[in-house]
Amino acid sequence: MTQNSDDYYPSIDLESLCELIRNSGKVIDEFKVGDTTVFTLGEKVSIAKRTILIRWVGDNCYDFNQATSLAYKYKLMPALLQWFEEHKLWKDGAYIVNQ
Amino acid sequence: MEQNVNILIEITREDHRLVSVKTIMPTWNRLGADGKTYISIPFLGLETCSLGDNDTDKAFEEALTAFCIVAEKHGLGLESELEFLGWTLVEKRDDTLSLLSNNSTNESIVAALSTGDTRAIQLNHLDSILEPV
Repeated sequence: MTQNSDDYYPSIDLESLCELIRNSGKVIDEFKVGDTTVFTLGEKVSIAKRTILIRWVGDNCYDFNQATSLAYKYKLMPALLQWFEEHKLWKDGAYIVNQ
Repeated sequence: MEQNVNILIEITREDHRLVSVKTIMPTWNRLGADGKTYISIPFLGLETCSLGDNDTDKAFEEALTAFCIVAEKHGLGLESELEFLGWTLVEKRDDTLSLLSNNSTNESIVAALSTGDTRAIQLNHLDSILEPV
């Protein structure tokens, strides 16, 4: 499997992922517990539905599955997909190849 | 075949302030493409990650601590926030101790629950982490 294979999904570094969360404009609190950064969103739902954990270990990245699962749950998908396109040249399920 | 999956949490308060939390609940792990272990904690509605088996308990402890802090600081309190997630109060002693469980009697749910890894943990001194009100 090569880097360019469409089976190889892009990951996102945690600094960028945190920026996407902050840029949502919904964050009312941010603090750290050990290696975990905790974001609380200011929506009127139970806290389980508005608490995001980002844990800084290893390569400090989240894989495609984890990033999209969080983005879907917290309505950040458009911003995440835009980030993948701009920074990983990945769009609509494939890497962009310059002809 | 009778299966028994314990999903319990014991919450201790002093003068209404959260002091300690003891819990046992299942979590589910997934090995990521990057070699990290991604951990799903559905009974807290949270997801986190670890560097592998030796680090997973620490990741879970941080997630539970985060849940307690956010529930007390921004939510309706730990007990109420757990009830929103389907936990039910089984025992309450004065204002100091609450025991909640999340046990289903549905056979297929119980069978699915038994596939998770059981995590047991105790958090103490939460009152010193939480800012005084």
